[in-house]
Amino acid sequence: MKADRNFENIDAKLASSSQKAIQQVVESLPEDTLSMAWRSSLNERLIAESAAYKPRLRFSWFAAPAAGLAVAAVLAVAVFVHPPTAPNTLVKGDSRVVASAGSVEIGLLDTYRQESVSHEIVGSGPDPSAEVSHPSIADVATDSDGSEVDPESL
Amino acid sequence: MEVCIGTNILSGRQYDAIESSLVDRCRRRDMEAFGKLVDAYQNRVFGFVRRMINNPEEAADVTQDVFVRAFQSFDRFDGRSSLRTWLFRIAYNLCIDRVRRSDRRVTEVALVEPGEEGETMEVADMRWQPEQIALDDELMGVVEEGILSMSEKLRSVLLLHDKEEMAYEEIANLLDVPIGTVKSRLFLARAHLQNVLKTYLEARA
Repeated sequence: MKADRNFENIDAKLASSSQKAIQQVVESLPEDTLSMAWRSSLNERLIAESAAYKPRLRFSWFAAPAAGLAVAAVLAVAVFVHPPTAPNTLVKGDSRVVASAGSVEIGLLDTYRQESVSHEIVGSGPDPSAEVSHPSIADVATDSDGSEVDPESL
Repeated sequence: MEVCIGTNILSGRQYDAIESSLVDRCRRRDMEAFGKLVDAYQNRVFGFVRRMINNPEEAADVTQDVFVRAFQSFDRFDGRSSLRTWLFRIAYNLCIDRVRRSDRRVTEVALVEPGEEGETMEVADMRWQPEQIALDDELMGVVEEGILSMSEKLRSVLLLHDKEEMAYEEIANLLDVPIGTVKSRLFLARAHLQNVLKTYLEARA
């Protein structure tokens, strides 16, 4: 309350004619001007300051690609040192495994298994290097007894 | 508020928009933009500094320091205060540093309570009619001397309010003091200047 009254008091005093007159006197003081030489000197100082910031800007174009390369290098090292491993055991008929592993990998594994099994059975099994004779279209068109076969009846 | 830049008189809103774009460019260390800022404020900052430091050559150096400091630290200007307030804060701090460093003796007025001096303020004096006084060079010299004979605290508030037309809030923000302190300092500064002028006029009469 007392503080408010003091504020009002000081506001009233600042608004008095004598105080306003002094305000006008101060306001009418002449404007100062600086010489061109002063400005030229300031410009030189500012250019020197600006040059101090230039090296930072000169390397800024290099910073972003370098950071990208560094990230790529880290990823490459991580992939080569700890390569992603495929599941070791595959259970046939397990749809989850089939879904998780790629079909190409499963095909390759099946081929490998079949090949290894064929090598284990001695004397039996087809020789992969032997030529297999396929019946020609002419053979299919004629029956065993040599009579003509009607294709429509098949 | 109307501001004159070059030959153009701008409204407050137009000026704010121009200042905002100028600040953005200055943050990117655009020399041309900073040059415009210097053009707009160099004489006002110099006027303030020259009256804070009683040495025109030193004041010119300090004014350069103000703009160099502003250029260096523009990225720290957060825009909470106006550009003018920020520049004058730098100027004020540099002036105070310079004044403290130089062992200058200034006749300071005592900080008395406004109420004590207020009683003598309203005494009618027919010789003291400021509106009729021609502000010639001699009188201006007396006013300048009167301003210089104040403490830095009073002088800064008087110059910022009456010469730079800053609001109380803006000055309080700039000097980091309460508004009440700004008002009481302004009152005391004007009262001191009034006494100086009264003494001069009495001596002349």
